[in-house]
Amino acid sequence: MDSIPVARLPTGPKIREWARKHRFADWRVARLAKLAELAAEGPLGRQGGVTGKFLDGVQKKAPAYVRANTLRMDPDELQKRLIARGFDLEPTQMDPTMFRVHHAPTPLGATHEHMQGFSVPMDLASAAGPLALAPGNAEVVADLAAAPGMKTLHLSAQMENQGSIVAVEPHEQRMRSLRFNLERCGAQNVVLRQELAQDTPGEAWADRVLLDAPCTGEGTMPKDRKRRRGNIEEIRDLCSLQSEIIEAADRVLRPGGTMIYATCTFAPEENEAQAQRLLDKGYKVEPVGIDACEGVPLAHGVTEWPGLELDDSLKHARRFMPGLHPTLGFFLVKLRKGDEA
Amino acid sequence: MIRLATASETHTILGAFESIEEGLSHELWADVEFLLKEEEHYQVVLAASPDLADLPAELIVDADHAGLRIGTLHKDGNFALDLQGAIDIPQFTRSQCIKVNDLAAKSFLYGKHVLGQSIHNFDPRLNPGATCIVVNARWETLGLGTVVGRFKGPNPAIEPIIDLGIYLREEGE
Repeated sequence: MDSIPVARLPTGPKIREWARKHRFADWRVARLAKLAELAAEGPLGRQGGVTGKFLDGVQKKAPAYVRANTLRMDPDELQKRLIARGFDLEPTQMDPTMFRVHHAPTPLGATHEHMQGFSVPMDLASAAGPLALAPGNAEVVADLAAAPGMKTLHLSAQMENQGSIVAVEPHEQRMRSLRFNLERCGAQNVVLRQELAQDTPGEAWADRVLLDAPCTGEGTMPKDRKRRRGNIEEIRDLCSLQSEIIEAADRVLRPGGTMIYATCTFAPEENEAQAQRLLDKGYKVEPVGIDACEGVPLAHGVTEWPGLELDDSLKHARRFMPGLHPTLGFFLVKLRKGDEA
Repeated sequence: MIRLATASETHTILGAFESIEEGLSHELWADVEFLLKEEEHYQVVLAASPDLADLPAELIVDADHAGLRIGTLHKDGNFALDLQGAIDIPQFTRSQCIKVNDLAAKSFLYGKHVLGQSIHNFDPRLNPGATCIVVNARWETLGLGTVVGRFKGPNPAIEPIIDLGIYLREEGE
């Protein structure tokens, strides 16, 4: 498998000064600035000051969200109950089962509603994965990097506890969280397998695949300061792992099936370049079907990045960018496997 | 190993719910298949979407978990109800239920016993030693307990077996 080249971009004095002031690695700021510049060429440019807002956003705490687990609770009733407990909530435009939490008198995870499986904390951006995959009730879905299970649960709710989800997670402790979350929330249509996705058996059994791949997690910088620094080699290492998991995802997806490839990082090497591998195998990009987050257009996938050859259709991929969108960072692309693949 | 329950095992499982209230097994489990996960001394009973049973065997036989754990089936042929098996029961019957006040609900979810004076409503057929379903003021299941005392007064009446707070307590360990 060819390795994906990772771009180390020039860092001018302005970038170095900003990086020093905010305790970021120079190389990371240069890449974020380049990405913002490219995003500003699309509809997101209408917001103005994209680079400044983005660099500001990756340092600020992102809003909290909670999803009503519709397997157990009507969203209106959850809202009513949490308001009675002193929460200030507002339904989101992107997903009517999700609420933005403006004020929380206690951690959401300590509420009875959480313990009873009525509510699921998750970032609004990551809800885009299950929403874009849009599984049918009789379908078989593979969720290949499933823990802690918030997206698995969202899929289960979308499928109304019917059909089948095969959720795969290699790490024991994360598998435990996954199992507890699914059980607490009453998911009956999920099989859990503790193994590497690369070891998941069989071929062409999934109608749809959700691959929210392990990544460098740049999108979580607003809540994890450690991510501001790091080593650029980490991107290369994660790219290799992602490529292996994508091979597994391709193997289990039936011809004509749909895959959402997603990460919570910004790096085009971990995102568009990985999707390009599938395009090279005959996959086609499809519109994600989510073009805005709370009224702000999502950034389009990049089709130009130093060292990469990317298909024009990758512009249909979408990015959530903190500071511009009220979320953590997230990337997703929707791909359809060729009928003859 | 995970496998489909046999007709006889299914009969035992459904029978346990029928013993709580006639017609309850149909209300709760008409749309599921029962899978069994073999453990050393018992089998875990899993309520699953019927579609799970149609998955290729290689995906399910050696899976770590499937569906919702609702109880355990023991070598003596008895079915023991587990937390998730009890979640929806109070929607259909008050049988085996103990309704507690808000304060007791809160402490029960932290693994504490219920005092007799905290009980608002109870199934009069519950005797000491019986397993009961502890519910809140909305008749929502909080967990399972054992009857240990009188349903009034300052002494413990229900000792917890398992409660919904376990997911948070054990996940944090």
